[in-house]
Amino acid sequence: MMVDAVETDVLILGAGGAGLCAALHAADRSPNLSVTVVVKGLLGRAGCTRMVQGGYNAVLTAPDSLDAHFLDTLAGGGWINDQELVWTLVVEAPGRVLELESRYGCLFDRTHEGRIHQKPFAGQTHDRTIHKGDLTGIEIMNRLSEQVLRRPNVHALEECRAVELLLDGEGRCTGALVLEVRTGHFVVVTARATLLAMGGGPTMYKVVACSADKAADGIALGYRAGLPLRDMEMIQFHPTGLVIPDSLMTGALLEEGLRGAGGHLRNGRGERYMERYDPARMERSTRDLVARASFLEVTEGRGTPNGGVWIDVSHLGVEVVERNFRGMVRRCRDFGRDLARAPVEVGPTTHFMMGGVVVDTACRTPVEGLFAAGEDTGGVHGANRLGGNGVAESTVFGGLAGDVMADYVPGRTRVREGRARVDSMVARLMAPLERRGGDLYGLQRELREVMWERAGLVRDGEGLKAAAKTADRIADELTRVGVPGGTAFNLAWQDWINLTNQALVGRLIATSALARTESRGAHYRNDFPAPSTAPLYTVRVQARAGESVVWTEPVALTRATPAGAGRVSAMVDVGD
Amino acid sequence: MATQTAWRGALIVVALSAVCAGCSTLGAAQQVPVSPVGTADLKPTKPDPSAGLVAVRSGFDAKKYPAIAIVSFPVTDSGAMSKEEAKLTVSIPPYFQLQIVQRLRATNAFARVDLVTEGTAAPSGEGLLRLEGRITRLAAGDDTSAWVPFSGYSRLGDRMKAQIETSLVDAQTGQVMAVTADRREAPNSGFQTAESYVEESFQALARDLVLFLERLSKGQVARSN
Repeated sequence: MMVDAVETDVLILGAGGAGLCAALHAADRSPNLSVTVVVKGLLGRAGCTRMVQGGYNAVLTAPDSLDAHFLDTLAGGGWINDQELVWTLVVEAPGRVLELESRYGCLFDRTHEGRIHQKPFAGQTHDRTIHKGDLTGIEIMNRLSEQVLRRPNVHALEECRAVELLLDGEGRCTGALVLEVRTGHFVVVTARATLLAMGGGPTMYKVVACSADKAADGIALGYRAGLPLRDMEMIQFHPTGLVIPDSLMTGALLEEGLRGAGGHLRNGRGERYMERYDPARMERSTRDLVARASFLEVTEGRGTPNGGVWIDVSHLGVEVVERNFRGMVRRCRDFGRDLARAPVEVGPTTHFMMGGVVVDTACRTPVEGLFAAGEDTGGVHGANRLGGNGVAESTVFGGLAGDVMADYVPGRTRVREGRARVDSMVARLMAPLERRGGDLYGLQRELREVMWERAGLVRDGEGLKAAAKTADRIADELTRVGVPGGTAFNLAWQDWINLTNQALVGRLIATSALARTESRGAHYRNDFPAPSTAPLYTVRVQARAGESVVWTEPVALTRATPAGAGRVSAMVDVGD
Repeated sequence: MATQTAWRGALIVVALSAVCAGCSTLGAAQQVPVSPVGTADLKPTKPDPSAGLVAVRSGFDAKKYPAIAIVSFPVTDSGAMSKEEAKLTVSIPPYFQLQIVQRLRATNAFARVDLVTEGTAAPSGEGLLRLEGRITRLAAGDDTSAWVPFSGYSRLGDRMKAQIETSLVDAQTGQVMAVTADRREAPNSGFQTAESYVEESFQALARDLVLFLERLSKGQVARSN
């Protein structure tokens, strides 16, 4: 197999908000650097930043404050966040918004006075979320990709995916092995600095809201390269994903604003079931509680015929719904649903991975030359992410990573990977093309089912053990499954690679969840339904000598303590 | 013959050195600020090793201020502007502001460095300094060149010019504690876009202003009498 070679100074794996901000910062910090961006799809079209409906959290004006944003994020995250990362996020976010508008050309919605409009969102004590209607991600990604195209020193490898990180004999990252999806050719990209910004993606679950091209690739690559991971048990489930039978759109989000505006949730019997779970707040309860309630209604046999619940906003009036939720009305209409006039079937959907690679505030990982930013990393969101903090995280830390890498590169040499090691990686990846038999998509369905049923919204020890065991078995069976066809644009082969990563990360989620013997944030265990009163801890997992080692570490309360915070953020009404 | 070859070689080396030396002078150079305004009782007249001309109020002790807020710098240059320069008047103020914020945070000279976005009220309070200022000159220049008899191929276009004037204000009392003025100029060589020349200049202005603020925070800047 021919393996091509590319040399670059800065290699960025992923082209969502984090990847593109990193590319722009690195390119602008030092125009003499060559920056290569590897994107699984097309530049500006791939990843989840584009799908952001809600907005971007940043403190712009009093009475909001950096401290308030900081404490809201910690309270939302169940206090297991890395406080230094959170502080970096809240301090840098206002500047990044300014940069997005003034330097990259984004234009966010304005108040009548011409100031940036900030809307309320769940779990926030002030109106803090900057937005562009309910299509904020498209605005950000369009502008960032235009800026990337303007810069001659940034080169994008489109429809390419990183399949393995390359480390030299001393454990330093020297780049990545990349697979060109269109041709099936492998490319060794040698770099002085490499950024993991592939955007997580909990696609090992049956129902997902995130971009379908994701497969937790970055986390799997990081884990195989020996990076420690944290908070892998923390998976966010959103309560209102569309239920469209036999459609890939199942799981696509309907924004929480619908519930905030007074929408009703009803089960298959027509009951407003939130009365049983949170009678005070009803549908305006927290995202995790509403999602869990919907899940229980369905699993206990009170769901709709398609396994969901109903969301009804028709009583708000056709005009109000069509004016305030234009994007969602259109999305529903595409599938023959009339959100403004009739109930629409929705259900919980897997939304976001709070966990990931352990990084410091400069996006450095423990592997020299390897950096990480965005959803591939853990620590910023703790046990649950606030709406609006996702895109803020990716652009803030992406930009920081770009600056840090541009400063890191001078004086570093590019080390070419040994041919034998690359050949063995390529042989492993090509192996399914040589085999016949096995049921790739059966394994994919099985993984998604077991993760949803046993490691999803409601967990227990037995279920998690079963999920981990199944994920392990699937990973093993994948080494025997064959894939038909050649290398060029072979989607089954791509799915085999995806499933290999999804099974690995699925197992890490289940084993980490087993180690957290309490319920906290998005992690709910039937056998440990309350938060522990023991000191706060994070669950870590790392590959050591071929074994998966799980351990816990106390949370460093470097800036604030739950007792000292003085108040708990009100988790109310709207958000996405 | 050998001597001639050696001479020719030496001449080539000298010519190449001259060319390289010429190229190496590309980029903005610090200049004396033109007519800086300052305040009624504080004029930037004292040359500073980094920040151009400065004046610091007698008795001012920056160590008493753990926090600093960086306010947006509007462009007040009233000169005629090209379309490109007009665009820069929009993009440069936040760029310059962010440069200061990021560089100042990296120094750890202040426990807290806040960015004040345009349109929001200027922060006030004890122990807080406010860095305000104006961009009083912002000209991208142009790279017009022509063959001039007896002079050869010469640059006729305007130089890139950038000038800033800043005030360091005690946020509680509103009193101006220090003022600075700095300027950069560069021949517009055509090797870079006007935007990148201007950005480079504002990077340098921010870097040098931050160096001044860092020294100030450590009490290493002489006060005015």
